Amino acid sequence: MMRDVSAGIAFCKEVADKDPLHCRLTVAAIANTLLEPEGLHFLVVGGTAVDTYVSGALGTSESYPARWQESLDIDAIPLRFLSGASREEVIPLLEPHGFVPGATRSSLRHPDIPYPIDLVGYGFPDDYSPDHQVTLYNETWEELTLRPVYLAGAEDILFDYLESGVDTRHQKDWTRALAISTAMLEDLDLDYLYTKAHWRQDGALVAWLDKLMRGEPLRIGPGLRPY
Amino acid sequence: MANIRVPDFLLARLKEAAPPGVPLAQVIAEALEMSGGPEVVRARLTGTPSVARARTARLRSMDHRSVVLEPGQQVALAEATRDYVRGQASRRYDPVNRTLSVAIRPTPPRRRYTMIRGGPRA
Repeated sequence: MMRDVSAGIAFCKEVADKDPLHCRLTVAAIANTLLEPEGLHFLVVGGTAVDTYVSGALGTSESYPARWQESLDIDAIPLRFLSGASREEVIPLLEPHGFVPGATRSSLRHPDIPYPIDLVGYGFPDDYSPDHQVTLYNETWEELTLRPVYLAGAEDILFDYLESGVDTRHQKDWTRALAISTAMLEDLDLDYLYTKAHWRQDGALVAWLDKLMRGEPLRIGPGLRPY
Repeated sequence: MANIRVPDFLLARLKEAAPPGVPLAQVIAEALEMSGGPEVVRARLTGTPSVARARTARLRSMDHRSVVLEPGQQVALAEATRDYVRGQASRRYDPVNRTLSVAIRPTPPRRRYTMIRGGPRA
């Protein structure tokens, strides 16, 4: 396995500049390969998940043409098969393979790869429906005998940015939510999305979800924070 | 407006690609205004110099980003216009600042990953 992981890291280094998204996803595949023997894996959330859903990389989507800022890290939730896991459980499994503490307490990076892994939200794995998660396979990963990548569902990622956008009035959040809804519209489980919005018991959230589904412009309202 | 000759096949595609309510003449006029003259537009619309091809490749690699073209960036503008004709880009002209915002869509869908619904816990 050591040899495959080393080859995976070399591959990441090679494609880091010309294909950043593939590099970031390959980092997640490497991490899953190292974590799986202990029954752990990463669930990729945040900007890298958005970029994957929106970029057309899945071959299922029209992109959303907008001002765009690509993610610069891999937000990952460490999970066990049926529950959340802690950072302390995963870090010792990655460090022997060259991963070192990053700029923040929750981040890890490999010296050869420009994209750090940010360990996030391990207290809230239930926010991400297992049924809506997505497993990604890729030929390169199979050749390198790396494990697949697990992404939080497009619905949950969209919801994260919708909720954050409504709370923070940050245009970047709204742009990302709108991009996912545009790119993945035909594949979204709308029943699940609306149910989740109603569970929050926040009428504004449901109203903004409606706006999102209608593809309304990138304006949340007064006090919008710029990109 | 200057009188330029646009090939028939290109004219047909321009008509298809022009957003509803936007006259074709306006699309061409914007391109003319931005690019400095009919000669440049004609050259770029009817031919594909290797430099332009290279710039197209670079633009396409910038999926999802708006590219703001300054007046005088003729080759890039013409290539953006070609993408627009092909329905692969959307654009917005700002007459005040005389800049053209072009959002490039990725072409074509790459289907690099096989996606299966459900994670390891499903």
